[in-house]
Amino acid sequence: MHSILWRLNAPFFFGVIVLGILTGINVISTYFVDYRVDTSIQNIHVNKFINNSRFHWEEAELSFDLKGDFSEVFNWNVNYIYIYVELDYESPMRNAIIIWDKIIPRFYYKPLKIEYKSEKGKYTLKNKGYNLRGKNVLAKIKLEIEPIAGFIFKIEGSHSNITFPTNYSY
Amino acid sequence: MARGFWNIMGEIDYVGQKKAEYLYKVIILVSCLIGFAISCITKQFMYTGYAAMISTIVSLILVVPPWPWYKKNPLTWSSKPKKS
Amino acid sequence: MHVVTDTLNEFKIMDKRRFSHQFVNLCLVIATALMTWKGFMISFNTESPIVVVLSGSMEPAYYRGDILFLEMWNYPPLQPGDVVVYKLGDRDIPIVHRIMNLHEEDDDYYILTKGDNNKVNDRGLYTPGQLFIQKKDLLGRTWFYIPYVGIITIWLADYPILKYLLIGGMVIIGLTSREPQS
Repeated sequence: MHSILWRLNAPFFFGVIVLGILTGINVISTYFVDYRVDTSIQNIHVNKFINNSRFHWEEAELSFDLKGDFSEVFNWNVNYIYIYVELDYESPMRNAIIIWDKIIPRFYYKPLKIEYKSEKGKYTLKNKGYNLRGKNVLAKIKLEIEPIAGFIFKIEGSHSNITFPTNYSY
Repeated sequence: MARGFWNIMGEIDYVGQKKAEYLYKVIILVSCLIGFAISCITKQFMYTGYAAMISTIVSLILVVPPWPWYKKNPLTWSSKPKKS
Repeated sequence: MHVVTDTLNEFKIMDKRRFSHQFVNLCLVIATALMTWKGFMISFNTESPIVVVLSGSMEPAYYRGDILFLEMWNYPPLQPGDVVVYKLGDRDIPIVHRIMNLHEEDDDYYILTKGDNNKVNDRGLYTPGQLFIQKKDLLGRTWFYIPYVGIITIWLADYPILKYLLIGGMVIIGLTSREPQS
């Protein structure tokens, strides 16, 4: 401790190490938490379903009812959560598209419960190829939890089916 | 011991070194533990972060420059032997 | 003052034997660091297992200067909602965005990405005419996140003089520090 350089770096690194250890406790304490969400998605309608021959893909816009309660999810290590609605279908290989998303940051106290009726999909579904007619598609609500520091988790909520109409709605 | 301007590059005596080492460890540990406890209670992690940063800066200010209270016990060198 | 005079003194008494001793020590440290990095690369199956976020296009998730750990394992399979880091063709900058659309075809993925803070998807960033990115463009998927610590890397890149100071200081310390003598 006799030189000024030593006195300069010792408290600094001690502070960093203590902060690191406390953050590590934070991370470990939230790794084993079993996250549950109470969500439901219903009443999915296909509003618009066209064949875009210029870009060689089919487009569809959907609307749905969405309800969710996320107050259980916010513990002390959650920075914010990213909620999204994902559509899965096979054609014949796996396809998955996000049509709606929302970010709820941690200090946004009011809507920890969200409820939307006839919410329009934010992003149109664009399918390479022409095989969506009459297809059975699965819509899921999923959640990604972004921590203040540590592991990133994905949780799956409820899901529901929808069958695409067999004709384009021109 | 350096004199004049170079005193700022400060050596401090041994008793002062012990005091300095004890001081920064206690300041940082205690503030971080208190900050951690507060974040546990309010469920917000930022109190730990602020406690760590502020206590580090405070302890740097208190420990790095050679303040006079670290120099209270200077070494007593033996006097020059008389030329016989 | 003793700090500077001690260091200069070390250089004055340096002879061939001491210099080679210190130099070999320095090489050992560098080799250990390199081994650790390569070990990370292999266990996470990716070219850059740790990246620093450079752009603000994923706010409020990832700000500039956050650190992300990446992995490219085959399980669990890629899904939309994953945050991935990719490099486009010849450009050097890694981009951190989220997968929005995923089509699996012939054992390869066709992926469309978008940053959380951007209103439109990334087609404008891809090379003209490219509609999707593929698995070969991806560096990895994020699984661990540390905030703020990477700011140092950004400072080093923005102010090159800091890089020279840091490397110079570390070389000086490597050549002059001695193990405690018993």
